Parts: sequence; C-alpha cells; structure tokens
Amino acid sequence: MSRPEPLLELDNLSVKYPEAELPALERVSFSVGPGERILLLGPSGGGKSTLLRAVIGLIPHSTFAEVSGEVRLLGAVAGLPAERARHVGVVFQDPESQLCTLTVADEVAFGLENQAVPPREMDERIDAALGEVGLAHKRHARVDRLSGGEKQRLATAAVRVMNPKLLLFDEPTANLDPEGVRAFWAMLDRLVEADPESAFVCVEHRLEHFVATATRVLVLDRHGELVLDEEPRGAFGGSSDVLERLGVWQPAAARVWNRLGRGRHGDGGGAECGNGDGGDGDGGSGAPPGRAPLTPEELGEALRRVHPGGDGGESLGDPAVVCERLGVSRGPGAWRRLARGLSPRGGVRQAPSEGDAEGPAVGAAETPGQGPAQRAAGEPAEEPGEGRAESRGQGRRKGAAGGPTVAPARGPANAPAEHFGEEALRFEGVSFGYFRSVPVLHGISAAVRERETVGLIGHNGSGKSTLAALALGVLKPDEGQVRLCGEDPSRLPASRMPRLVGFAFQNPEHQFVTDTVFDEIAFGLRKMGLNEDEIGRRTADLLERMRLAELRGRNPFSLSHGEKRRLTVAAMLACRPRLFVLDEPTFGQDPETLGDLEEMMGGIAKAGAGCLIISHDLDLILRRCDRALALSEGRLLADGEPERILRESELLRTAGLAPPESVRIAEAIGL
Amino acid sequence: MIRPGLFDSYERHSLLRSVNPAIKLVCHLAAMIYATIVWDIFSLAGLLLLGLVLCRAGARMSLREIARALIPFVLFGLGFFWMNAVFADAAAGYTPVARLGPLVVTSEGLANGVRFWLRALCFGVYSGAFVASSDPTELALSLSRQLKLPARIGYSSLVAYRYLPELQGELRRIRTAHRLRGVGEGDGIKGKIVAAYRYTIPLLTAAIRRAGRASDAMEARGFSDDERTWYRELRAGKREVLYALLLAAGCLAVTLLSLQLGHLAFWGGQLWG
Repeated sequence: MSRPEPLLELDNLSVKYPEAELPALERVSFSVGPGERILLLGPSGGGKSTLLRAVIGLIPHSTFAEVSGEVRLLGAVAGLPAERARHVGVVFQDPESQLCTLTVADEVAFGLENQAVPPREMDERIDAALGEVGLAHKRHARVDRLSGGEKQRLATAAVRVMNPKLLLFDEPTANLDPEGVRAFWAMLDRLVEADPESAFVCVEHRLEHFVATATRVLVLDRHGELVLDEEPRGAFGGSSDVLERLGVWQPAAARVWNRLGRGRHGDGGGAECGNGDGGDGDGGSGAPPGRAPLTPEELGEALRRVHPGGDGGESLGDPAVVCERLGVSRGPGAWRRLARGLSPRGGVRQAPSEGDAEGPAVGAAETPGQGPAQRAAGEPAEEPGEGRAESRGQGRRKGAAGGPTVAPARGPANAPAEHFGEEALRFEGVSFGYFRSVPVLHGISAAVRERETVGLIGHNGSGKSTLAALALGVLKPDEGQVRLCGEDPSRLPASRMPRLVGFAFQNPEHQFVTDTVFDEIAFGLRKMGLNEDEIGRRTADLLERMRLAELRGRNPFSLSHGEKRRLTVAAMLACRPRLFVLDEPTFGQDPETLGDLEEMMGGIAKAGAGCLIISHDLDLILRRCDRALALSEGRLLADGEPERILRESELLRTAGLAPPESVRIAEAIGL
Repeated sequence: MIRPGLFDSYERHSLLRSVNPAIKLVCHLAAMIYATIVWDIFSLAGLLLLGLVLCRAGARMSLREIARALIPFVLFGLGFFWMNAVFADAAAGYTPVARLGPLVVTSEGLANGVRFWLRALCFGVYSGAFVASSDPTELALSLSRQLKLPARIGYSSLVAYRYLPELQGELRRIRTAHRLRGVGEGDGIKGKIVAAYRYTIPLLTAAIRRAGRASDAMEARGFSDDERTWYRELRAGKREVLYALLLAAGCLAVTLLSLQLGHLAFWGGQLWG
C-alpha cells in the first residue's frame, strides 16, 4: 500500500530564539499524513509551542528566531502565515484572546473573509462549521457571553471553516472547567468521525481524553530534540521510561499498568495488554515492548484478561492482588491513597528499583497516626514550606532518573477533628445575591479550621467564587455572618489582611506589588514592622526554600509561570497567615508547577494554617483535602470527607460533577 | 456581575441603528464641530435639544441611559463653568454680580460658563446617540468600506473594544489582590498615585500580552492586507444621504431661528473673557 502524500513534513527543523543560549528546537524531522492524530508531549519549556508556531509560520514571520531546516505543507515549502492558513489551522490555549469579533457568526466568517470567499457562500459554510462543533444554536450570540468551553469550540469552528487539512491544538482545554473539557473532546471525537481525512496535532497536559483518540505520540525533550515517535500504547507502555525520565505526564491507567507489569516481571517484561482494539493480544508474555491501556476502562478490561502468569499464578483480576502490588492498602481512605499515588509526585510511576519492590509505592508515608500524631503531641508548628524540603532529596528534580517517589507526609483522611485548631473561617447562615431577586447563595454554614485543608467544589455558577469573595470581605452577605479569624472581613483594614489570609489568585501577576523578587517577599514583613535583620533572614530563608534565591534581584513579571506561582506563595507564607485560599490552583498549570503547589499545600497545613481550595479538579480535592464542601445552585449539598462524597454517585450527579480519573481507576481495579 | 451598560444598547432596534455607522460618525462629528462654532446660548441650547431628540427618539435611549451617558460631560462642563464664572477678568469691564471671598462672579463670566457647559453637553448627546445606536462590528466594517481605512485598523479597534470590559474585571481582581497583600488604596493624592502605578504594570502587561496573542491568532487565520471580502454587506445609500440632510436641516433651523430672534453669534476663539 503506497503511503498517501504527507500533509506536513518537517525536515531538520531547528529554531533558536535570539536571546536564548540553546535552541528551542533541534533538528526535528517528522511527517504527518491524512487522518493521523498526534499527541505532542514534552516537559514545559521543551519547545512544543515553538514547534506549533513554526508550523503555522508565526516563527519566523511574527516572532523573530533563527530557523534552519524546512517546513513543507502538502509537499510545498511553506510561506507566509496567511498562505499557510489554507492548509493548517491552530486553536490556542487562551479562550479569551484568540477571538477577534463580537458575534459568533462574524467570528467564523473572519477566516472566510481573509480568504476572499464570496459573501453569498459564507452563510452555508458558517452553518456547517458551527454545526460540527455543536454551536449552531449560538449563531447570533455575542462572543463575550459564551463560556470558556464554548469559546474554544468556536475557535475550532472558526479555523475549520477554512478547510485546513491539518489542525493544531495548543493545550486547548488547560483553561476550561470539566464540563468545557468534556464537551471539547466530545466535539473532537465527532470531527474525527465525520472527517477521517483530517489530521490533528495536539499539545496537551490533560491526557485522559485525547490519548484514546491519538494514533501517534511524539515526544520532545528539554533540548527540543524529538526523542520518541510511537503509537500511544507502546509509548506509554514499553517506552514509558523515556517519558518518565523527562518528567512527562502519562495516563494514570498506563502508569498503574506499568507498575503492575514491571513489578511482576522485572525490567522489560511487561505483560501484554490485550486492549480494546482486540486482535493484537497474542499473549506473548514477556514480549517487549509492552502495550499499555490508556483509559481506566481499558485498564479494567486489561486486568480481567491477564492470564495468571508463570510465577505464582496470581490473577490481576483479583483486586486484592492489584492493591497489594500497588502498595495501596484497602479499606477506608483507599481512594485517597490511590489518588495520592497517582498525583504528579505520587508513587505510581515506574518500576521500583531493586530492593524496595515489596515496599509500598503509594502513600508510603501515610501510616496512620504518623504526621498528625506528632503534631498533636505538642510539637511546635513547623516553619512553612516544610513540604518543599521533604521532597528535595527524592530525585524528583528536572531530568533526574526517577526512583520511586513518595507522597509527602500528611494526615490520614479520617484524622479526628481534635487535630485541627480554631476556626480560621466561618460562614454562619450566609445568603447573598448580586440582585435582590436572584439569590446566589442560600443559608451556607461551614467552617475551615486551622491545620485543615478544605475543598470547595461545584459546577460553574454554583456560587464558589461568590463564597470566596465573601470570605475575603470583597462582598458582604445579605443575611448571616462571615468570620475570618473571628472578625468581619469586610471591616478589616487592608493592613491587617496579610496576617490573616493568603489568597492565591489564578493569575499570580495580580498579586505583585514591588519590583524585585526579594522585595516581594519582604514587603509583608516590612509592613509588619520587623527589623531589617529579621526581614533579611526570613526572606532569604523563603527564597531558598522556594528555589528563588538566584532570582532575588529579578523583576517578578520577568519570571516563568511556575516561578511566579512560587513567588506569590512565598510572599504569603512570609506573613504566616492563618488561612490560605487557593482559587483554581490547577487551571493552566503544567504538572511540575502543580506538584510544587501541592507540596506547598502540605507546608501550609504543617505551618498550622487552614487552607481552602476552590477547584474543579476533584483528583486534587481527593488527594489533598481533609474535607470537601459541595455546592450546587448556591446550596451546601454536602460537607464531609472527599472520598465519602465521591463515592456517592447520586450526589455527584446532583452537584453536576463527574468522577475524576483517579476514582475511575479505583473502580477499574476494584478498589 | 452583569450590568447592562451603554455599550450594550446598540443591540436594540432604533431608527439611528439602521444608519451606516461610519456615515453617522461623520455626521455627528460635523454636528459637534458646528456646536463649537456657534456661540450664543440660544443656538447651543437648540443644538443640545436636537441631540437629545436624537438620543431619545433616534436611538431610543431611556432617560436614565441618557443621564448616565452625560455624567462625564456634565462634570467636565461644570469645570469650565466654574472657571468662567469666577475667573473671567473683571478688568475687561465685566459686571460683578456676586462675591465669594476673593472671587468675583461676573454676569458675562456666568454667561460664558453656561455656553461652555452647553457645548460640553452637546458633545455628550451626539456621542451618546452614536454609541448607543452603533454596532461596533458594523462600525469597523464601514470604516473600511465607506471611509476606506485599512482593515487592519478596523479589526484592531474591534479587538481593543472587546477587551474593554475584561480590562475592568482585571482591574477589580488586581485591587482585591493588592488589598490582600496589605496595600490600601492609600491616603491622599500621593497614595492614589502610588496605587495607580501599582495597578498600571499588571494591567499593561496583560494588555500587551493579549494584544500579541490576538495578533498571532488573527495572522494564523490568514489575516493580511491582501484582498478580502466582507461577510456583512454594508452599504451607504439614500438613507444615509437623507440622515445627513435631516441633521443639517436641524442645525440650520436652529441657526435661522436664532438669527431671527437676534441671538446668533459665532465663537471668536476666546476661552474666557
């Protein structure tokens, strides 16, 4: 069978930015044929976005960079971006800034206008494109009134209408809520089905949706070299150690599978995964490379089909065996322990090294009674950021060869209430509405105590952000009381706020008030009237812990996103507030920054502060929170352990939430 | 929080809504220029009244909307009024009518103040009627088509316009974030200036980044200075000519009436006195 003509060919493409020492891309060559769906992975800063920008021609035509090698589209050397737009389209990460008109139909028409399509042909094409992405009913809507998810689908329609053969996605769902994410990938599945000839290249951290659709995985390393080009089951199976080494996020199902397979057969001998495709499960036990299941459902299926191996005859269909292998003890809190293990820095990653094959991989430090018991025994509150130091020696750093990593020590899920301190935040019968006729919150009563981490969950518009604004005193309740450390937050002067509450905004830049990294941390301390020696000592200490010491003289705005995030947390920790509020900490974060952030959360609890996490990310809530508050339509639907809430499927449905990946894995392995 | 503002009212159907925005812009600018030429209170009041009719009947603005649109112009006009009322040079033979401590209020000064105030309000009503009845997309389009401005300018202004409400939300978040860092709005003018400086950098950073992303996205969708077509057909024809004539007739009528009554005067360029 002759190969069809490739849509895209990269021939030794190298890109180097003028101010950079090293190239962002180093002699990358690959081609994309019709119907291919490519998942492009790599560590952050590894040139993924650069690659996409070079393909559409923004590099070098809009952003200057030294480029060598060639980009060919449909066999011809690619020209200016406007010419390339006929063959290749792109959907960017930020839903807000890639749309340029005011109404949905105009937005889709924009591309057609650019291609000088006769106006009489436009309506039909606009309708078709909107229909494809499920926005036909929004044709006359205003763009600013769409949700983030709808905007991303609109951006897709606006590109698709130009009939490109190749569509690029640059983390299209990083800024979306779960409903938006789900609808986006459902749309993509429909596109693939309706138009099997089109090709897609997708950069995405949230793998769980696209991975099942992908036909190929490409991986760039830190130096912008292409180090892997394989179909997904092999990439996440037999080649997973390449991904592991680069610190690239992998599907949870594949990680669990590899852990089981490797642990059993030793290196290289993964059990063959008879996946849903069928036909290729030729049962050759020990035949590399292993093929990993990609979704929780596939994992469950694969586990049931694994034949008892030669060594001991245990069946992976037996949950008890699986749990033992994973080192997750069953019983109360099991989901949480699994979720911990599946976290960015959790234990379920790779084969254990010699000697600790028997040791628990997941939640190793979670022996009940350990952490909190010590604290309860009168141990003085540790310095903030302790979680940071804990993991430093664990070889998790960039590029370090991954031994098994261990979830940082934290209290067990069912820690008795006595471990927690006084109430840092209390809502008492709080009701609120922006307009009198439309109440947003109804009689909410809840509290966050010191040393306690509480998750606030609920679908979009359930009142989460409003509740947070009330906690900060930005809004005042119509009825009831809000108490921040016993006081009415709306009456507190700004000068007292930093010692009571630290709030991590979605955009760290909003919080910067000085011109250097050092001053940013020292700012709150100076306000507190400490002497310069003390300020210098504490600031230096935090700079060290947050890995910012070398950046102390830099302007905060010039840092990378992860550094900015660490700086805002350091600045808050400096003032030692009694409550932290994190607003959607996982939005737009890469796994590394998220891992950092989670370690900081551990440090917060250790420092004796309460923590309120507002998030759609139920995985995060499950592994990090002692308690969760589920809001729906402005009412408090549940207040209890995250695991208990997640186990109630009825409740989840009412709250408009879907079970997260770790829960689906737990169900797949029968935990 | 959703609060329907002036910038949302173009969605409503009105007589003015159906006039080509670029032509309407030119007409209203002409009326505003004319309001800077005439100088007697009667003519200015007449032009203001004509503008109010345009707002109310032409653009179907509610009285509340008109009042809100005029607030900045009222304040601006008030400044001019005050300066003229008390600072007009009494040495020029003006008649003092009242004393406020060291300040002398003259009757001529008062009259000039009223003229400037009316002029400011005229600017307000004609701009208000335009904004409340013009679809920004059509404006961008008609600037390119009727006024032959490059598409680049039309679309850039659309992108900027889209960003305005977001900028407001951004500012609100930054203020909250700074309050939580322990930075108050500050006391006195100095504090306010320092606070404004602190807000400026994140706002500017966000705006610049966004502009870059928008331009990348547009370019990636084939936007260039080459030949293009337009989805919305937007013509200027009889309706626009008629509107221009009507507006001109209105102004002329005010002028003639003023002349008839012996009020008409033209501005000699004086700021006060």
